[in-house]
Amino acid sequence: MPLPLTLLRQLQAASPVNAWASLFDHAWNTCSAPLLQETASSEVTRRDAELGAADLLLATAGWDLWKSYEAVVPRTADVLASWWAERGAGRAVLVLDAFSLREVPWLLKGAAERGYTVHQSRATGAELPANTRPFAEALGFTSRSSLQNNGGAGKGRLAGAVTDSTDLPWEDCAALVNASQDWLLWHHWPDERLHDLGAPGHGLAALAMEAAEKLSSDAFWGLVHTLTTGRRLVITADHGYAASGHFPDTADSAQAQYLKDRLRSGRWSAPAELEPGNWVPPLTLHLKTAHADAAFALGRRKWKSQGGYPTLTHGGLSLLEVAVPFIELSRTGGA
Amino acid sequence: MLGLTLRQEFQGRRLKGTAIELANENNTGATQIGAADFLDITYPTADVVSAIEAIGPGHGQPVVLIGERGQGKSHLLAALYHAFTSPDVTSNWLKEWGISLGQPKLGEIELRPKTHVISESLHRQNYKFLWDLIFDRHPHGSYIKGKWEAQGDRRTDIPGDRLLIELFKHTPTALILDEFQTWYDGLTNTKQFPWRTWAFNFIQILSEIAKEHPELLMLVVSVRNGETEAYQQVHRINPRQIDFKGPNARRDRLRLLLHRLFDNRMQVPSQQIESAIAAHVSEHLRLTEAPPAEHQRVRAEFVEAWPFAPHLMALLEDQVLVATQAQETRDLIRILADVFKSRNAVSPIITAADFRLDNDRSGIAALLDSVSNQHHANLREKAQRNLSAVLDAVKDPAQNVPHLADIVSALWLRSLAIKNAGAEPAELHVDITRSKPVDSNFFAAELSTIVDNSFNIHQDGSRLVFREEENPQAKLVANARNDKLFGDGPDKLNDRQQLAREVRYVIGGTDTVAQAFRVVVLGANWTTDPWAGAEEGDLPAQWDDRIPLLVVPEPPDKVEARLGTWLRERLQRRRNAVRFLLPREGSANLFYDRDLLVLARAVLLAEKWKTQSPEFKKLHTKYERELRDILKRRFDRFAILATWNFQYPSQCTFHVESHKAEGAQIPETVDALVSKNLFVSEDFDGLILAAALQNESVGKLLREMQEPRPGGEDCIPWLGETLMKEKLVRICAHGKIAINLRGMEYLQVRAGENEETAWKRMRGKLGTGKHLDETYVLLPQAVPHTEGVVPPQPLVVPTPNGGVGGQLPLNPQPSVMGGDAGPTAGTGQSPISTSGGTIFGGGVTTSVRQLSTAGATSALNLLGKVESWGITPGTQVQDLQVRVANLTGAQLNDLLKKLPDGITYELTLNKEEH
Repeated sequence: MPLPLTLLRQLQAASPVNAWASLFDHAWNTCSAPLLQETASSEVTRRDAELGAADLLLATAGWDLWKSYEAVVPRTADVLASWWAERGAGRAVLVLDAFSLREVPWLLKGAAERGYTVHQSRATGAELPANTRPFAEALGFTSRSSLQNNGGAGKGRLAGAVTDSTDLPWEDCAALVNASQDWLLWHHWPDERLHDLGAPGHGLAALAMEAAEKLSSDAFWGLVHTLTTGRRLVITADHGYAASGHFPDTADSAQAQYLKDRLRSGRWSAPAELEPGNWVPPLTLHLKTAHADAAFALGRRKWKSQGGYPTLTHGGLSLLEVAVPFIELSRTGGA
Repeated sequence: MLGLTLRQEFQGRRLKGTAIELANENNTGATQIGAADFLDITYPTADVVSAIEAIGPGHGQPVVLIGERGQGKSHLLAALYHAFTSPDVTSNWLKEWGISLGQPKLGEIELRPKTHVISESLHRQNYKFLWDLIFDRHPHGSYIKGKWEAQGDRRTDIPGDRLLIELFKHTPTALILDEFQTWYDGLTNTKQFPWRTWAFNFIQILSEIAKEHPELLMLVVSVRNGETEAYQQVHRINPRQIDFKGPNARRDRLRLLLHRLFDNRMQVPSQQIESAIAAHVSEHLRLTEAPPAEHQRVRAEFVEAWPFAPHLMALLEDQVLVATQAQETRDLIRILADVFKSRNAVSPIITAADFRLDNDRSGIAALLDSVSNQHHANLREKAQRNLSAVLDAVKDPAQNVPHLADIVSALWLRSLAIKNAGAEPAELHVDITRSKPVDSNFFAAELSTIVDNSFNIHQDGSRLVFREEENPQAKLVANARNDKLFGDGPDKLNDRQQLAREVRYVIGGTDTVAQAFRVVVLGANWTTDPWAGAEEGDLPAQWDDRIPLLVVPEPPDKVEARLGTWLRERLQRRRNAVRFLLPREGSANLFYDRDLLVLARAVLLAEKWKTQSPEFKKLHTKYERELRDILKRRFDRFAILATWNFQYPSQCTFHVESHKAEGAQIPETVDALVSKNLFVSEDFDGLILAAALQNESVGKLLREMQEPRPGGEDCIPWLGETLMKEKLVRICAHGKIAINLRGMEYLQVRAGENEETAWKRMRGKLGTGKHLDETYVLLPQAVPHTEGVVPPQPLVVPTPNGGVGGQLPLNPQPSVMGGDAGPTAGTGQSPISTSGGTIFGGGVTTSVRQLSTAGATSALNLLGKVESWGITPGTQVQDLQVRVANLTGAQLNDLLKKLPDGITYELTLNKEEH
């Protein structure tokens, strides 16, 4: 599927700010269109493939854009912090770990069906590397686990929030949420499932089915209901994920070996101890980010590695790994 | 039967013996009843006439009757007795016969005037010596006896001939001695009691008197054969021999028999006889293919022998009775009387078929009494059992085998013969023909039904014969034809299942075929209960990936409507995957084809019995082959779904094609035809591309392809999972789609890769089972492309070794290899200078690679390493350095001597100074 012409032109001519903005818009528009539960896995796969063109361009022609990513892309942690600061008490943030743009339609659909008002919905950028800890750090915590059991109270950039980090079922999470005015709840789904479903044979299709079911469930919306009770809620994510099972194989054995030596079965590695390769366009991109000085897998490629390359992973440089939803909700009678 | 009646003596329920006794205590002996009475049952055979002639005046020959038991010797003796005692009655009798037989000479035979007769059946042993008999029974006997005894010392052991002549002169006498041989052979003969010698001597005297003085003594004796000494003595005097073997003996005996049996045989007009037996005779002439010239004679024979068929008489006399202990004519009379009594009401002529096995009142009992032979008794039992077996096996016997009892009886009787036992079918046909001809075709069918259902009838050339041993084949077939043994019940053998098994084996038999196809034979009522009798594993719920080949037992009347409806009602899934194998147009339902069923049963029974006898093993093979030969050609067409209409299944269409293959080749031929003629690649490609748009899993795609396409679209024939996957990968190799193997591998044509290379790379990569559900068909995606080189290996920087040991500085020799990037790795501890060439040095444009061993090693390992680096004799190598840590002067000298000439070397070393 080719890249839309206007997008291509913008990427070629516009400034990095605009280029990234239009890329994120493109990703958002592609992914957020409504979905049907029956065709979810096939449609999600199709959308993922459609965004492959943008990733291809970023990997083979516009890889220099990545160098400006941190500078120009509004990153989730910053957007969240400023949103937090702007609003008075009655704020809630639900971070769904590794929640990507692919799952957005279920949220928008559910919100519409259940009478929520969507104040904003867009894509924001993850930290680099697109991992959990960098996002926790960006919010001012040491790690995700430090939020457990209100461990993050008084720390971080979301001042006054009661924090928790859990992978309990939605119902239990809803019970967890007390009447405090401000809440930060970091739920481990779907990240915890990436590891199970990342095994050979499952991958995106299975996760898409699961997401469709989970995000349409009354339990999930029960949690949203609780969180929106007297609060404005932002649902967002620390990072997205790559459906690496659908990535093309790296055919050249020297290239595959190169990638394997540096990245093992992952998408980035730090420190970048090995020499950068003499590849043009590069296979890996060496970036010094706010959180790491590391080599990142550039674009969509996978290679054979011990234990099999995971079919779902994150941390590399592809659009759906770094773009995450940022959806602000409220409920009539809620806030 | 034309008013023919048996004589009174044969009309009783139980027949008395017909043996003739000359005299008995009841005074009913042949010589004790009136001459007229006796002669009434006597027929003037040539032997009788000849004997009477011999005793007539002027002849005076002694008469000797030679013949085995039951030939009528005693009867003849009795006749002679009456000729002697009642010459008038006898003469009248002869005259009457002369008239009725048209032989006036009979009446002209002169008889001796009334003569005294001494007749005795010697076997009754009433007299110790023969002369006792004569002295006792002769009117002058006691006088002569006294005279002989009064001789005192001069008395001889045997009465002398003068005494005897004197005796016979007093009253001329006829001496009739029955059972002479029996008596003579039984005499003691020792020194003390030389009775036989005396008897011999006395006979000699009598013979001579009879020869010299025929007017005084007529000697008539009967012997069984000519071997005894007693007879030899009589023979010396040239007696008249009556041996019952004259040229007309056979005819005579027949007439004698008829006369003896019946009161009024002579009174039945031959015209009536002729018309009564016309059908039988003409069938006989036709079936025996008698030449026209013979017809008249044959007809006459039939009339003469009536009410018995001449072929029956010949059979009984020449074959059957000879083979047994029967007493010739005597037993024949009883047999014929018996069979006539039981059958005269139903048969215009008595043939072998009238010896009914199913009726004990027929002649069988009498015959068997005379046939004191275990073998023949057994044979009768077997024949009877066969008769009931046929009755059991054949449906509606009265309709299908009306002549069953006749045929079996006739065949049995004919099987008793010693020579040419058994019968030609034509002979049996004649035997059963009575007042109406039996149609030849009908008879042939009936006979083959009987033969097929009996198990002791053996085929011997064209002849059929009953034998005691079972004909394994006949037994097998007879049992196979018995419908009562087979069926679905638990105590019965399931013939249909066996037939289905055979069909499945014939078509899907060999292992190679069985792996790719599943041959399922639908049940007899395939439209309503197709899975009846199918094995558990053949039910649709148990079907695996093999292509189902459903064998339809009968040709459907409207193929498309019938199969369409069947698919909808009887199959819930994989409707597009099944192939129907149809039998030849016009054939009957497989499971109702009696011939096939019988063959299947024969196979089943032979299989079961083959432990009993190797014969059955052979038969098993034979019938199995026969059955399979038929079955493998039976199914000549196949049908496969073309378009599907669930709502109106009768509007489904099918491709119905002939495959021209046989047996085990059918599945593969059908498969080849389907993939060659019916499979449309373009349709398949379209389907796959549509699936790729939907990112469908291969598992789902394959399942969908096994179902008919909705909306009346042309169905894509299912070629089996393997082939379909292969075609899928072909399309992938063509570049139209990509296949994602469980997220592990992404099959897509690479840039610049041709189809064949891609195919080689991709084939066999698709998994099976659950993995297919995790494998997706996708549209190809753009792949990021990169060019470049491998970054150099990290350097192994040589560390100078503290030079305690001897270190020989070896100058790096600028040898074969050109300049290369970076310093080369050393081979260990030697502190040899490692300054090498620089990259791009010397303006050489060829690229160079720096290669190095990781550490010091042996010379042999170095050679291996050089080879693994691909350095051949032609390879140019530059800036070679060999580093040696420690070396003696001798080793150095050795090394330097081995260096090739024509190259200059630089040498650097550290020499230890003392």
